[in-house]
Amino acid sequence: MLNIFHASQIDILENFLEQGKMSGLSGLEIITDRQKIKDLEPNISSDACATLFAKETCIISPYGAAISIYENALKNSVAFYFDNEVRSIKFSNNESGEKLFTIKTKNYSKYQPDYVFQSKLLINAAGVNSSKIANMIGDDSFKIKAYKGQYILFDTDTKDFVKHVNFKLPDSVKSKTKGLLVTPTISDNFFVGPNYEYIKNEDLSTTAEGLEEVKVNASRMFNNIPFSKAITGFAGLRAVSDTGDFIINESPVNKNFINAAGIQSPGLTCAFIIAEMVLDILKNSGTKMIKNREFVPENEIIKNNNSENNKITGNSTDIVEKPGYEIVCRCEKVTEAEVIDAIKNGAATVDGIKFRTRAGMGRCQGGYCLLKVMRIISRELKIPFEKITKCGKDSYIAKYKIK
Amino acid sequence: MILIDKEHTNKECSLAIVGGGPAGLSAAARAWELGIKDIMIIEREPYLGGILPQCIHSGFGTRIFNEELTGPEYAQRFIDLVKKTKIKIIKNTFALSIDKASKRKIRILTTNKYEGLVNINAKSLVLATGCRERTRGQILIPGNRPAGVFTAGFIQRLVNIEGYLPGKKIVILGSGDIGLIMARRLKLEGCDVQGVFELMPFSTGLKRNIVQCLDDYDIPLYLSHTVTKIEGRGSLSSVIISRVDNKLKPIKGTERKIKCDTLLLSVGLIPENELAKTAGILIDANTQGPEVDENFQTNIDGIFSCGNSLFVNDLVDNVTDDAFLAAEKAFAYMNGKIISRNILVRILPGENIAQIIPQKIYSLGNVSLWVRAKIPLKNAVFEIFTENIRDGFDKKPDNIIENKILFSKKLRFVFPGELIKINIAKDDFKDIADAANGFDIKALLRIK
Repeated sequence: MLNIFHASQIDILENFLEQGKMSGLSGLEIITDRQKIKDLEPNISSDACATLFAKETCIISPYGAAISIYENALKNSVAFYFDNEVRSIKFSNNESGEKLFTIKTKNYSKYQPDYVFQSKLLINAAGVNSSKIANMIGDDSFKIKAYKGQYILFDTDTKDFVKHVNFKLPDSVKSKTKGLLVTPTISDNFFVGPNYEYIKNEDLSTTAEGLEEVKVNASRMFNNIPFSKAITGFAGLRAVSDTGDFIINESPVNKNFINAAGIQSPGLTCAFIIAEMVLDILKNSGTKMIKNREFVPENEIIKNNNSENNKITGNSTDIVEKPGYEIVCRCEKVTEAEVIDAIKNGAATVDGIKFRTRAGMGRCQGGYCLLKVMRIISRELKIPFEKITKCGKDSYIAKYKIK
Repeated sequence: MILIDKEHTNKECSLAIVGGGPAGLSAAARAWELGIKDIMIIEREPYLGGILPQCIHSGFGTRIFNEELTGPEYAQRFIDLVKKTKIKIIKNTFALSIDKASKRKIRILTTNKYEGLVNINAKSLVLATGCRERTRGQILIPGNRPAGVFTAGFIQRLVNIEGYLPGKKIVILGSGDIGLIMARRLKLEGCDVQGVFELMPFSTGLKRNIVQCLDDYDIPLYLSHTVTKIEGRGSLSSVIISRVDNKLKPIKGTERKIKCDTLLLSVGLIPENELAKTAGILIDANTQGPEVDENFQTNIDGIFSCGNSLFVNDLVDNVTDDAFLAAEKAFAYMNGKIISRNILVRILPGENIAQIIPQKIYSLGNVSLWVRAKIPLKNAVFEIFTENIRDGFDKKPDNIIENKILFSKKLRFVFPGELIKINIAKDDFKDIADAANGFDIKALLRIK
């Protein structure tokens, strides 16, 4: 529901409706009957005078999608190098006269070396840093600025508060965003946000002012938002280009360098189409492509939750344990089997398990399950307690062993 | 997610108790003493005692046992008592939901990794599910989300049971008892405890803890201060502390950065009632525990609540008292002695009162009220009054025609950290009920 609160904005809704129809969307309608709007969203402010209702809008778990795509890429032999910052890119001939990129990185991890990579093609999908990366090959055709958005997430207690994805059309026509959201998630709760603020560096912190702005603006769209049921606040960054649009092109200075930059909302929705556009650009510029017959299109997710196969034998006795019936996270009712599965699927940190299973995402924010999750990580991956991290690098939890 | 299949084992008992902490153990011991034969304690951990095993400081049991015990010792007294009986202790078992199988049968769906799903059917149920800690997210402290920001209870467990320190340079937010106790505990482990910061202009902890945990160890207490930013990418590097004004808003220009690797949060406890909610038990917005009557019975017949899941107590001795009462009333219920379910009076918290228990009273008798103040007061008076409202009008001041004081009691000192128990004799209570005449009554605390 794209809601307006000034009758004068109805033209904008009609434009969006036309755009939507042109894009082949069905189930679009503009509702001006306030009672009908209230029927769809009982808690919406009575000031909502019209809404563009897109019946077919769906929601997914954004991090769930990212994890699945990542796991699929792994399965198809994509190598990932985390904690590596690209420091320089050179484009030059190698000994056999072939033109190659040479990419040097700085590795943040103490235990691994810096890398030098060589490649024929380079895709720049570096988000808020993509103009910095483009500059390394002398491409200054666009500039990216980071705009932060802050959010407030609520308890599952409040799952009936909002029923659809709700936007409030910004008051200013010039605004670059679709406005603030009040929307359910796939996990039976809801969130409000984001705001829109320019920041100088890659700063993911929330601020008192930003969260207040979100509260005030959300409260203009919905009545009685239960802020006492907030369970956390967080922030994300948008990569905003000075061209006013997504930049998906071969670099004007090097046709082997493809930009996929300045991707703002709805970036996730567009991700697969952008990938196809990038492939088309490569094809058109003469890159030879051979079908990979070994490509595995689907993830084979290890999922033994609750099945009898998942029996493990207790250490001291021979009693059979069924981890599918052991609750690890009380708020989200995550079982030990789910945590073990997440580890088998590649999770190695507390946050890795949190994003895969929701253990620690509920109202107590890990107060109960953190130790239990750490014990399972330690046991399954055979790493000592003090080496377990929240999210990699030096994010240790039980830093020092008491002698 | 647990997959709920249709067929699962059933177990029968007369009294079920959810939670094997001090409240659950006390309730079980008292119920056994009264002669209830078939008692089951359902406990999610592999051990009994609840939070007490990690509370290795002393100060427990001064009233119940007349001696100063540590947490594990206090728990052990009750564990020993319970183990001498035929009370069944079902450990490693998580209660998922409660419903009424019939008028006189309460069904608790449980899960454990040895037996899978098991229904426990009981005639009566005592909920002793304890409380949980308020988190950084709930109070929305701005900043990054690094490792190193933990609740006091988590750190207490990490240090006292697991044998690890989360860091060495500590900042503590909140001067509740557990925050004060952890300040001393971490100091004793050689940590640099930089101070305890409290949002309110007073500490919510017990007086004796401020003296014994902070003053004795030269740990500074900063009142009217809060953390306004958390800094650090992977792990915590510093926090920004600000002073707050009398509306608890941070004052611009008072910010200062404190380098630290651990932020310990002691910012409140919330009764844990997710299980109670599955049964349709009404929750009081002030206590966040079930709405109960003078018998600690919830709105569902036969289900009682006690301990920190009913309201957060400051002393374990009080938890034991509540649990004894809940067990006695469950016993009375099972013998058909609690029948009246017509509300005689409903009591609402008024000025300066954060919480009041019970919320409603059904029958005439001696009445005990448990009251928590919002702010400290000296030479205070506790009053109960009626707000008689003109029929058919809103509760606007103009429509309140009479404010009659029905009961008053002088109190020399009132602290938010110390629960006040008000006893009202049967005769006095009869006068209150008569005067209330069906209207709600309100309680307040003011300076005399």
